[in-house]
Amino acid sequence: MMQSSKRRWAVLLLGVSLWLSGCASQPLAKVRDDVNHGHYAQALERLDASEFTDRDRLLVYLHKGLILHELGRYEDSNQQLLQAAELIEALDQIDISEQLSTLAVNEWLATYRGEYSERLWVHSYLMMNFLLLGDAEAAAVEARRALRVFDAHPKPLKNAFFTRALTGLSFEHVGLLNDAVLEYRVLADALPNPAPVAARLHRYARELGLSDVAEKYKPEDSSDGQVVPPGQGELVVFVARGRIPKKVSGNVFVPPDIRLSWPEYAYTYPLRGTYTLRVSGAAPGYSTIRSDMALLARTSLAARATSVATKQVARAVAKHAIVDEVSEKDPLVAGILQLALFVLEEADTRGWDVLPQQLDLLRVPLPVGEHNVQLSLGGQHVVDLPMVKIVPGSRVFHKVRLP
Amino acid sequence: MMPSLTWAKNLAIALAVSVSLTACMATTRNVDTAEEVHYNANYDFSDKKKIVDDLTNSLLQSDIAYRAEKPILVVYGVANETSEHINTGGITDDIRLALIRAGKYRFINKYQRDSIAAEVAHQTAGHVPVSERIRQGQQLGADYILTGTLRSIEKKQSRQWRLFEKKLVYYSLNLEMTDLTSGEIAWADKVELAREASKPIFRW
Repeated sequence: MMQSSKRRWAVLLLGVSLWLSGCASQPLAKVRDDVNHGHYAQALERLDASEFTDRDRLLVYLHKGLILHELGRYEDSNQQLLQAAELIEALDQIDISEQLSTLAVNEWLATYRGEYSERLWVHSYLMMNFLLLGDAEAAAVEARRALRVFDAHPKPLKNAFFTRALTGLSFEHVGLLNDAVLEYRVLADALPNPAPVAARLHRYARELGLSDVAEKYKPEDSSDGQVVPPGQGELVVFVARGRIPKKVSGNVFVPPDIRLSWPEYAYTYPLRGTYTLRVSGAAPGYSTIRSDMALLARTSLAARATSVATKQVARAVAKHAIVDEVSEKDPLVAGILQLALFVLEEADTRGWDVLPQQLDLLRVPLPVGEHNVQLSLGGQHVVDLPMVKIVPGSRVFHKVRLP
Repeated sequence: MMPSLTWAKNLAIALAVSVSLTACMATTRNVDTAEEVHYNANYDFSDKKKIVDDLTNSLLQSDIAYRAEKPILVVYGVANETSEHINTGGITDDIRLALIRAGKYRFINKYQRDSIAAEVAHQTAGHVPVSERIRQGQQLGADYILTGTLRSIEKKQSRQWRLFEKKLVYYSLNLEMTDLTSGEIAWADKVELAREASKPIFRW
């Protein structure tokens, strides 16, 4: 009687395992599909209508925040992203009971805490939103919070050029030139070629009396048109392109019964095509700072590869021990349990997967007046910006989404 | 043997129920605004109150407050240079309120200038009889501008080989009054706050 009951439970566990392995985080996968097809409103409705556990709460904030940003609802986007930032801070503690459960089953039972790059991008999007809303001081607050993430994970985030440039710009926009110069120096040293930031760095370093810095970054071509001449203004455009690759499951089977499964990003080709910027028909000089989000996501995931691998080995040992213990009493139940645990060994492929694949920061010095600005990609995708009105010393912000 | 076992079982159930009920109970209480309350190391209303009280007292004790003619101030705000979204307008509003109540200073309402201009334009557009219109060109001119900066420094202890993580936060608010005639900083003071908080690295 007792043995039959145990067998029923084991079969039930196997059924649940098969079901769970097939349908984990289905609503979020559908949200990605909606966003890929440009159905942002439908994606938002799906996020509002679906039931999510606390384990996926962060992903819901992140997805909503980005979709609202794409829709131009910057204040609503900030509400979501500020909650995401708060939650990331709260998830700093290690939940022992949760860790034990992931040791017996898989990482899907853990609360999603965000990859290092995602923790940084929360602040990147908040900075962009605040700048687009005209709240320079709040953007500078987010710049300081981004610096905390940079300090906590310097190696995987070294090439986060867009966010580093945005941090410098946020400081520059509130007049904190010292802080801006510090960021531009880090950026200039990290970039393969410091040219896009050298002229700006040279000018501010000179203004602050940092002659050695000014000399080091003296641009070879003084007429490069990247620094705003006195009495003129500047247009700043945030350009997002493509979609970040999805995390997929990498698997290794060790006969007879061990399965190791880890998350990895599907390979994507770097985006091709160059921008053409026209201002009232003419081609102005401008600077571009680019972040390859796909590359940064991979680097961030790789930075915690050791802990992922260690956990997998520990889980394999734990599962083996559980099956061994049961097989002494009932080999049939042990067999079913082994199959269930094998199926449950599924890599955690959750992620903020509605992000773009590439982010560009374009800075265009413009003379005073009204300008028709047009941005195109490879002559195919043409975007007309709303009329750009420049007054002396002003800085105007816009965002553009390209395929 | 049996009765004692039943008694122990009942006790265990009662204990479990009471513990779970206690954990689920929501509580609310009024907090005296004078009471110092901190839930973590971050900026909160107790900090704001200390900043406002200290700087108001300093302003009221300055020589400028004892001039025969009350000085006229205009507030240009406190810049937030911390890594928290703090509404510094709340600090300057409370300082202004305390100074107005003390009767030592007069203030110009800079933030209502557009509304004042709109109201004046409405009156002079012919909607209001001439006898009831306000006289233009009679607004007060400020003697001083009041500005400041709120800064913070935050340090976290390293996690290695520890059960608790400590966080140290330092805040400073510098406030200054600049003479509009001479450009001289006629008064300046600051308030500093430092707080350490710790939280367990692990939880169940």
